[in-house]
Amino acid sequence: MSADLLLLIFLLTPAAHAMAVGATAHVPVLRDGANIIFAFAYASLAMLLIHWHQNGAQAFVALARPLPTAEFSFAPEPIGLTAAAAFAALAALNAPFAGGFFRAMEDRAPARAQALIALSVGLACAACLSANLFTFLLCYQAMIVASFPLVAHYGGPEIRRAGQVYLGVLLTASVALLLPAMAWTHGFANRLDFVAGGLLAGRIGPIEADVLLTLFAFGLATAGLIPLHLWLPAAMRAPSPAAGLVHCVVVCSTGALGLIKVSLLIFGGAMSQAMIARPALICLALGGSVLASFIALSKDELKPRLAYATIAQVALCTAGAMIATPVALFAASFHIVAHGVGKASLFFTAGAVEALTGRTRASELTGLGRRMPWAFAAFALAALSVSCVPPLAGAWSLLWLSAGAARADMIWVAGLVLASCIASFATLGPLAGKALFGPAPAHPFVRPDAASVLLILPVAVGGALSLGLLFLIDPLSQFLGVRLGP
Amino acid sequence: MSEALFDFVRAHAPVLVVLAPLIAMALASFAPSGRGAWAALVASAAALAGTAILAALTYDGRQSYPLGGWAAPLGIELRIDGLSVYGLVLIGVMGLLGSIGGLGLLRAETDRARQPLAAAAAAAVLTGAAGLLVAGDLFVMFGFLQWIWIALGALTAIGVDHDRRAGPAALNVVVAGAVASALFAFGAAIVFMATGAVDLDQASAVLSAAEDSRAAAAGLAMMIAGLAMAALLAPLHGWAVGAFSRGPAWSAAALGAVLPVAGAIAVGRIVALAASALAPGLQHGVSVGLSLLGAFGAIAASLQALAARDVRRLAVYIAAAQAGCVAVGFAAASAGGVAGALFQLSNLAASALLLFCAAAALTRADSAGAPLVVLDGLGRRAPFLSLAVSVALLTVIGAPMTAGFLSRWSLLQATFEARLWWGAAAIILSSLIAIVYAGRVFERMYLRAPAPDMARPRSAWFAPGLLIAASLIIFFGFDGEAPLRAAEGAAGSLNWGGR
Repeated sequence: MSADLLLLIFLLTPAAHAMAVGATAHVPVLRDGANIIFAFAYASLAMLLIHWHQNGAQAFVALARPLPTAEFSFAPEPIGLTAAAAFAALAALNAPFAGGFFRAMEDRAPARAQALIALSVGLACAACLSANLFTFLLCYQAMIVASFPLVAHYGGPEIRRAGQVYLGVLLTASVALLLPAMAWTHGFANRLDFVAGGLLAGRIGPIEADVLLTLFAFGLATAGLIPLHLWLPAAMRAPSPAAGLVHCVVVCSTGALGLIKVSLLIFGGAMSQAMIARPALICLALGGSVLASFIALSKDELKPRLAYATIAQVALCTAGAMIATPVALFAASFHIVAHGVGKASLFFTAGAVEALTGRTRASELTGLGRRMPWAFAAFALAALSVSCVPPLAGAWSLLWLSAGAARADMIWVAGLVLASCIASFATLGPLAGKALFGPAPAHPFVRPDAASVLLILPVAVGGALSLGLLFLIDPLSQFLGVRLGP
Repeated sequence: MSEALFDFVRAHAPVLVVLAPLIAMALASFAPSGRGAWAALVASAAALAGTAILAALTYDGRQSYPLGGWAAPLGIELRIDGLSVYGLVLIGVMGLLGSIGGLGLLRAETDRARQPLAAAAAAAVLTGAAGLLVAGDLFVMFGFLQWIWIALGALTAIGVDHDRRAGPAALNVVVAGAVASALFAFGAAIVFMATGAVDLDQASAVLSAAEDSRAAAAGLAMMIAGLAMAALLAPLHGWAVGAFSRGPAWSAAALGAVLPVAGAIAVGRIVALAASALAPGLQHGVSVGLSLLGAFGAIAASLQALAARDVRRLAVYIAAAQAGCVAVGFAAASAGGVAGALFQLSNLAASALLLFCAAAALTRADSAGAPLVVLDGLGRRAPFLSLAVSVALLTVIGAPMTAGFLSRWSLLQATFEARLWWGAAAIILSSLIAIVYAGRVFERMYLRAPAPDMARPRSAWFAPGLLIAASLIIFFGFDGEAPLRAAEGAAGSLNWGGR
């Protein structure tokens, strides 16, 4: 089998996944079985793609040529491949969790949600592997549309309004800002390919670079740059398996990855031209991160709190993309993985708690760790990791981001990053502590019989991964071709 | 035999495209039944489409056709160039597909005695549209423009059989037509005074050499304003709201996509004349004026679409919003801008055909029009029809993998190159507003339950048109090279060199 065929199969698998789940919708065992099997097959294909890429196989698939100067094509490169593999692996972990959650909650349309989760993840992975900006935009917009029905899953006027906010903010930003940025880029380069060294390098001046970078940063609104972050709290109306994996991890990280790709492969050397926009966007991202943490602290509902924490934590990726040194870009890429694993684990715990105890507020978690020790141990590990507490995985993002900023003569960024991480810790650290060490509640379980292995196993694995990612730094830096030493 | 026929059609294409609907008009007037008359209309549209496609496939440069052997400037000369071929293919194909669909509703909506007259009036509008595209001088353009308005007024008035509000709507059409024709006639007179010529080539040559072309610039601006009414450019599109939402539903389906195309191509021709012959300052003034009109039209009509409570009105406003985008492309006054505008125009034609046909299929038999409630639950009641509406709205938004994305893309490129920032902003804003009204339609079609007394859509006759137009929109969304090259070829057939 050629690398091209493997890539094509990888791209098409989510559609087959969604169809299989839809076809078995009325038989829960078959439906959940198909969901888990396809999710694991998808993750395996992603790992195989990485393995082949490491061995020098360059895959390329062109599906259509809508414009004479732009193809609908895919060509994996290390950063995109890393993010796609992370999304696929987390989707594999999410599949059994979704099965357990929807069964416990006696959901009315679990197949629809599972199919849409598969499609959203698949489209995000396709965006990661896109060969040019045109393909990225197509997959990115399709991902937004595919993930919208998950927000409106439970129905009702309030949820419909939340769905309108979600779709309105993200589509407006992508049409009003990202599309013109793309058209303008095409005007400068007469093509839209992701090019090593940067498509725009040597083609634009300071003013164009400042305006274009700003358009890209706000156009990719899923990266959660304040004030275009409102879609994420709105998305928390979705069921936990979707709100966590799809909205807080995949959709959010795809925006961040888009910024990394724009910084590395579209701007490249031209990033140094954006002398005003770069520091301004770093300040906005990291200042917004601190602000988002404070807003998170004010939220008692667990999912909105996690959403604001996500805005705070994904800002590190935005900052890395703007610093744009190789080490900072590595830190941003690694943070996509570390944050994804940590945030998915947090949502696994939140979902399990909701399914078993009916509790959805942060204040109701006190002492629950004594009743659900494995779940809250995983929650604590994940919370510390996403808050960049050493020696967990997230801490290494903080370290390398600071190092990258120092190499770009932006040492002040390290201070902002540290402030962001401290604020982030304040959001989740005490919560985990209270849950583990507070007095145990008397009768917390409203659905004790719902505690299936499907629901609990992903929680434990997620927690373990938050710890184990530590060992991924060296191979990942080698895969991405970044030298982390002096 | 067939080769001889091809040669004959090719040699006489400029006059055949006008004669085909003209003969159909005569035949329809004397046809014994409505069906017979309508068959003549469909046959003429097919002949027009076939001739236009043949002319497009064998096009190798401009073709002049002096009527009766009288060449310009004295005689009437018809011409086919890249731009007119592009427009003829569009109006031929859209007219054919729309008129096939209209057959199903003609007998339901129109009094039996008036059915032949209705078909004849529709054929007359088609004649005027084709004539406007092949006219070689300003006088002939004026004649065909008048022809369109009079025939359309009559056609709208026939709608009183079904909806009494068609009467005032017809009066509006006649008044609007009089204003449009007067504007065009005054403009043409000014150009004639300034150049001593009504022939487009001669006028261009004289203007290029003239020291002071300010009067001619005013004349050209007046002509553009007159044609903009036929092109559905807001705020000059008020007549169309009545004509297409109060007049017979089948006429909107048959001609809703034809008129904006003919009007817009005529606008493009005058803009090309201004771009090639006027002094740079004046040319810039015409360009800025048209771009502002287009930008205003795109936004204003989009906002009207947002407030529309009737599917047929919604279709008119959507077409008008797209016509505004087309005008912005023309205003760029470059080969790239006009190519983008023409690509957008083909997108307008296809989406207008889909929306007008769907609206006609959904129009209630009780003269209540087609309120938005007829869309409720359409996804379950008529999946094919709802899919066609969805494709039309997606391409209007400019969603990826539809032709609309590529046409908007081309337009944005052209406006960036021409530094018409407000035009680019208007195009983007109209897309954003389209997301909102399209979202409402999607919600009605796919998330709401239909009212219990909802009638079945009368969509059987519209099926071929809906299928072909929707397929083309999707196909060209994946491979836009062919329509883009055709639009570039059409734009390139005009002189954009300036003086």
